[in-house]
Amino acid sequence: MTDRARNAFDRAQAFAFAPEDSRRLAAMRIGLFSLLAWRLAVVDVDRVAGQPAALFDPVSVFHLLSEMPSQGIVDALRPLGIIAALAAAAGLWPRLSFPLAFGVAVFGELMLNSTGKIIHNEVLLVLCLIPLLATPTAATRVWSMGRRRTPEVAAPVGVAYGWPIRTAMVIVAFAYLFVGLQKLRYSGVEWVTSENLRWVLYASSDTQAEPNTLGLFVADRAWLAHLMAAGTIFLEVGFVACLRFARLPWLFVPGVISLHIGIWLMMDLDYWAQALTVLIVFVNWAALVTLLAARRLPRPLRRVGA
Amino acid sequence: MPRFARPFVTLLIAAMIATAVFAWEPWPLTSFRLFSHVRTDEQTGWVARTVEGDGFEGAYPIGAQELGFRGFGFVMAEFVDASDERQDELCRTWVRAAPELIGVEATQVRLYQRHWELSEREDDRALPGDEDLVYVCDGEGLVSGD
Repeated sequence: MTDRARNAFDRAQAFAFAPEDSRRLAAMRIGLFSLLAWRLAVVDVDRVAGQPAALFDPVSVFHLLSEMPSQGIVDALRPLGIIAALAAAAGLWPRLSFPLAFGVAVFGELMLNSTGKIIHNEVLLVLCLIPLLATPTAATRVWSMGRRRTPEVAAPVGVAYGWPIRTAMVIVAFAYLFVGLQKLRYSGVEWVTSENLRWVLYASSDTQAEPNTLGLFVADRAWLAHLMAAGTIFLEVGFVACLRFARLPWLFVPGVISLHIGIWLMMDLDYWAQALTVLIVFVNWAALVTLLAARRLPRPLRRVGA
Repeated sequence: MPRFARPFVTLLIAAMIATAVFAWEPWPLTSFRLFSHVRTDEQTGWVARTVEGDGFEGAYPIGAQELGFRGFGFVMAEFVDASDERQDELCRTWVRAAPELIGVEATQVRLYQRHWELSEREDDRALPGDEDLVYVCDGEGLVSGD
């Protein structure tokens, strides 16, 4: 390995294996598993259950199956997954609840993906759960219903709580980077400079029950469509810089969330799981809780508690 | 920190990179190809219609149905290059599903290729364009088509 590559690898390791507050990891656990419980409840897997065998187009481990799972299996797994996700969020029986919730979620998503099209709506949430699967003990060290509360002991800080969070941050950043780079790889700058986004929005509006007023407003104005296309590439490819520069999440996190809100409004595509995953992983909720708690204390005590 | 953490993270991130570079789709790992190809004004799609016993031809919006039929566009992309056996299998599936999906006893399903332009619009909708009958299916399989 060259020196440059070695230095880059060492910097990446230093980022990924840095200490973090155990409360921040707990917040990520609570947020991601709560989000998973919601998605298990609302994502419509029923529409593919019982699909005729001739249309079954399996992906990943579903190649082991000969046909789409039945509605009966969905009806059995869904409540199990939701309960497991809620238990995981609460920090209960993590060695059981974490993998069970994850497994049910992946099973349902593989059903949706086995109809001829790869679905990306829940991918980022599922990927960011993987580091939590590997750290059930650390992820439930604090803010867990299953543990005895010891408020007088400060929440531990260490690499054991840092690497799952930072791995999730790398996953999020790389996901956006790859989405942006694949656009440039397969389309080049034409993705921005051509009428591409106008046609995307026109086609999307035509598939919706009613014409999409906002999407058509953008599509009818070439300059606006080009601007939004350029902004999309900037946010996707640029997001990875958040791993290097600590202040950039203040720009890119609201930026990508706005992107997903815009996609939802103009194209009726549900990427809420992705947007909320970014928020859960990149916001330091533990620091926010500390800040809010300090502001509620009388002024003299704030100085003492700081 | 567990000893497996470093190799675990390295492997996970390497797998993400590999699936993106080589365009693999071992879900949840994916190549992240979302809207990665340039869209053009000219559009091509497939439209299905049922034919009942009395010859009446009606709409058969396969792609809007439940029971896993929504991937109709992608299945048609496979259909055009599929083997005779595979085309027969898909034809039988679509014909036999019509009663359950749309309440129609179909004797045939006709597959039209539609061509239209997104820029040709009226009342905030693209004009329907042209349709060419390409395939005809019945309960036994493909009846006619290339």
